[in-house]
Amino acid sequence: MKVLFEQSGGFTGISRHVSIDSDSSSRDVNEKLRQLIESSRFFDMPDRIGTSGHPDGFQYDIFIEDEKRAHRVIMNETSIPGELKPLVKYLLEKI
Amino acid sequence: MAKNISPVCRLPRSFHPIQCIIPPYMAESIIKKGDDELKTWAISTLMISEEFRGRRKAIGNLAALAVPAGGKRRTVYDARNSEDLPGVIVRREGDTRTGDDAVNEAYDGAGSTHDLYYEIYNRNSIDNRGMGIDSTVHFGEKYDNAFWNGTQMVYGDGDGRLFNRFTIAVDVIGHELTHGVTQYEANLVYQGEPGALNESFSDVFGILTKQRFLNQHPDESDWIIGEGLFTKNVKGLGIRSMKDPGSAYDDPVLGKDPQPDHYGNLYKGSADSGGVHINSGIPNKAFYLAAMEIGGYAWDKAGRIWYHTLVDHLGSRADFKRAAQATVQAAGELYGEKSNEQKAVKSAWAQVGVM
Repeated sequence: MKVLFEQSGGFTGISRHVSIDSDSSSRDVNEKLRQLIESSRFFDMPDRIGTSGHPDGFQYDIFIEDEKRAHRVIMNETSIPGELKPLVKYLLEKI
Repeated sequence: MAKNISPVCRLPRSFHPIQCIIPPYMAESIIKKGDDELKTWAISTLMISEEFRGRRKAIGNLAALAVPAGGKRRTVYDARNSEDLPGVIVRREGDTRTGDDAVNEAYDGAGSTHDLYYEIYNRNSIDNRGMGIDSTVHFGEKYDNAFWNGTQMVYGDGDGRLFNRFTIAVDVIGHELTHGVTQYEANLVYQGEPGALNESFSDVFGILTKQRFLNQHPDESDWIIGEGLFTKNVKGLGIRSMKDPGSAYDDPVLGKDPQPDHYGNLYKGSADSGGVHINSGIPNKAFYLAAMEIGGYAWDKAGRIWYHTLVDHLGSRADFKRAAQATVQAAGELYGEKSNEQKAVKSAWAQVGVM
């Protein structure tokens, strides 16, 4: 499984990202990720959630690929659905 | 005059003043013509209650009448590291400095920005109708950002490792307040080229706020947006350079400043709402070039051309080419067709590859 996460925009416009590959991650991380992805129903989310949001807000871009499928979701910091918040929070900590 | 007011309005607390039996036209009249005591009463019952946060629109016009044209009504709130807005009031217009640097910077910076707009361009606050200027500080935890949320400015404290608090640079405050001005004027869509223009107008009036505060001519300014935001752990002058886009920082952790300085290098990806903070480098440089060529304080002529463009000549979906044409038109209207000012503007846009 591969997870690519990018935070862009904000006042600074500086992009920060993290990429997590299950092959090179610890069991704890993999376990936690699978759990968060499952409970967030990530693969059922639309490709774009919300528009650009307010000026200088952050944009979040998540790409996840597992054995069966791949999906990408782009949203802004005010349009994160409740179910996705724990996953976004976890990925932000990994940056 | 007090005798003519229904006794219902003199009931304290439990009753909601905005549902008071005095109709708005009467309250307006009291604020305009009442003696000081009555005026104070009318304003205080309409204004000070925090309950009114939700009813601002209804009383906005009345409140503006109580302040002389161009007078400021700043309020600073503290979100106490939560993400609830606006937070608790910590400084009102006219209150003395508090012990909190972020609060004082937000207050003073909003004042400097307001004064630029009012004293130079005769603009009465964000909406040009005297609207209150609200700022919230200490938003979120270690929040590396500042933003305009459609009604107010919001500032984080920074994480302390890479970023300082976001009120530390007066141009950041000018930038955020200008998003409000743009919203009430051209209302440039925050995506792609219109979004980059939106960003650029914020950087332009942000840097002009700083230059005016420091009384700098264009050749004395560093033209850096967000100087002071980076901690000493970061290799960089600031967040963006209007004079030399792409040169502001180059750091092992944060990467290199991605801004182009020419239309030929336009960013076309999906990050950052289509690169609004990236492509703003192109119109930013055009402004810098125009200001340097025209001479004098940058807020005087170059800033005036840009201000009138924003207010009179741009639609919400304008692209760079349209904006360039609009600045040329504004320059012609202000200083004459074929004037040196207009020529400087044309040349600036040609140098960045837009015209």
